[in-house]
Amino acid sequence: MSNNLSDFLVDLASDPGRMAAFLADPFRMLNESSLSEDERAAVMTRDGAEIRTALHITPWQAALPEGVTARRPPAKGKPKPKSKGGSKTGRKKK
Amino acid sequence: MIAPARAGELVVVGTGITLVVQTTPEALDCITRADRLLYLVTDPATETWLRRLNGAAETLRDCYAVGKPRERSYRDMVQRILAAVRSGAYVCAAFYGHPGVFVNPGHQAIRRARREGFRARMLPGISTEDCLFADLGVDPADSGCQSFEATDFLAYRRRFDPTSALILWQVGVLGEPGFPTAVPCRPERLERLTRVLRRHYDERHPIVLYEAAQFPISEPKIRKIPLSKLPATRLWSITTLYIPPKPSRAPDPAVMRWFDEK
Repeated sequence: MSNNLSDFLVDLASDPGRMAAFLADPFRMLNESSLSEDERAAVMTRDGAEIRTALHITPWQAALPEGVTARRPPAKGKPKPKSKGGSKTGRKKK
Repeated sequence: MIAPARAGELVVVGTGITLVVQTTPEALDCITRADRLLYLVTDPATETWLRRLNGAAETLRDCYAVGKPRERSYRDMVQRILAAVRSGAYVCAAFYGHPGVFVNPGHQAIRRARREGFRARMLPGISTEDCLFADLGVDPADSGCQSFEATDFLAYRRRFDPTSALILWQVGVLGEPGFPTAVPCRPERLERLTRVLRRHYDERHPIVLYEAAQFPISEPKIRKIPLSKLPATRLWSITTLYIPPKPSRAPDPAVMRWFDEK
């Protein structure tokens, strides 16, 4: 039995049989879990934003690892050299 | 190239976008076998999974702090990773998505480790762009595809070809270099982006606001709107903007004749 939403989601994602059982009868699996009412409601929406909210993830946290990589433009009077393929920090864009 | 002589090894891997199911077997093996697993992921579920896989898992999230410049956070992450490698351990650094796409510390850590004589490599992972190609049915081979970080696109006046597809990342956080305390999506910045795009596209040109599915039970979010509606749209930091190509211009007849050559 999953003790919280993270465990519940990981259990589902790690076990195709469990995922199939969820998709066939989500209410049954949720009723067997110890998720809160809010967590169950979020799972039933199958909406990423609702699930993130139930996991207490803010939109900002969701974006952190892939990084808000905006960089400040060069200081005034020091235009960026042209014909540079990469970024200022040398990171490759893809 | 000088053969690495020092004990200690670094492998940088990606966990993919969708929880659990998008981590490659090769990455999974490294995550499981590592003496030290340092990770930076977006959600507590992935964190739970990584901690189940490897009891020595440590988050790099505490390198971020409100008001702390992002570049300093990245430096701190690289230092943490390198310190673990220098201790002689087999170190795995796991990042959300593809570890080399929009992940500054992944590349930096590899370079630093190699400079110091350690064996270091990066394994490819599944990025948002990979998910986008699959979910939107887009093949970059059809007419090409250009991909920019949205603020970089505006700040450096990137030149692009509107007859090829255009992908703008992080369009919901234009010009936000740090760790803001509030959700931004400033309409005036979206208006500026729209003005730039309007030089190349009709106001009715369709654009797609895309979010990959983060959980196996959730669906990707795909919202099509005309370009003119962009400034009034509420965008989140994880939204990627996809702009389909305009019709191709006439091909070069000299090149097209190549197909008839024997």
